[in-house]
Amino acid sequence: MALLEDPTGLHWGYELSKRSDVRSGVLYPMLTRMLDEGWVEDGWEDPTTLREKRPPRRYYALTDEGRLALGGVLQQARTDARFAGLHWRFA
Amino acid sequence: MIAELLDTVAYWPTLLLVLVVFGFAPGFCLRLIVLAYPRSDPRRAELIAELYAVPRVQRPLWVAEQLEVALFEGLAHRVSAALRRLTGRRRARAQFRLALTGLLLFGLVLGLWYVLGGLGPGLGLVLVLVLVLVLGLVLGLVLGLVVVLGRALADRFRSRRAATHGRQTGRARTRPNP
Repeated sequence: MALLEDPTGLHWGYELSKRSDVRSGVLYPMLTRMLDEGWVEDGWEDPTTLREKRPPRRYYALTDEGRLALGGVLQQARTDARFAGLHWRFA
Repeated sequence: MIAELLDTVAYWPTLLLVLVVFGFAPGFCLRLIVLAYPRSDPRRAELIAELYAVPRVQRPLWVAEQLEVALFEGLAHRVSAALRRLTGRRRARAQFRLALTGLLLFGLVLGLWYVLGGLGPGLGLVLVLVLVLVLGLVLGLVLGLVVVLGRALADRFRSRRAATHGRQTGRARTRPNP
C-alpha cells in the first residue's frame, strides 16, 4: 500500500517502514523478495545531488510488472473481509 | 525535583552516556552488524545510509532491530554457505535457522524459569538474561552444526546406498531380454 501511494516515485527503506508501519526486520526481506520477483527495481542516489553530509541512500521504484501485480493483490484484498478495517489511501 | 533533574542532566557521566548511546554507539554498532552480510550484499551500504534518515532518538532501537535481522539473514546466510561448502548440502540454511530459533526459545524458557524463581534469586536478572542469550546462541550454533553434519552424513550414506542399488538395477536392466 505504501508503495502504491506513489506508484511512480522513489521509495526508501526507512520511509517505507514508517509509512506502512512495518518493522524494518520484516520490510527489508520483503523488498528483497520483490526485487527477486521483478516487482521493484533499486538504485542509488546521485551523490552530487545530495545537500546533507550523508552517504547516498538506496531507493526502490515499482516496475510496470510490480504495479500490475501489486494492484491485483490490493484489488483482491479489498474484497477480502479480513482487510475490511484498513484505510485505502491510494487511488 | 527540577533541580535534581538538571543536576542529573548536567552531570558529566550522564552527558557522556547520552553522547555514547545516541551519537557514537548506533553508527559504530551498525558498522559491526552489517559485517554479518556478505561483502557483495548492497544491504551493507544501504543500512549505513539509512541510519542518517532515522531520528537520533530512535537510532539505538533501530540498530538493535538490524542486529536481529542481520543474525537471521546475513549471519545465517554466511554460516550456511560455509556449511554448504563443508557438507555440500542445500538445505543447511533452513536447518541452521531452525536450530537457532529452537535454542533461542530454549533460552527464553530458561529466562522465564528464572523469573518464576526456578534458578534461585542469587543472580541478577540482567546477568542471567545475558548468560541465557549467549548460551542460547552458542548452543544454537553447536546444535545447528551437529544437525547439519548429521543429516549430511545420513544423506551421503543414503546416496551411496542408492548408487549401489542403481548399479544393481542398471545391471538388471542391461540383462538381455529372453
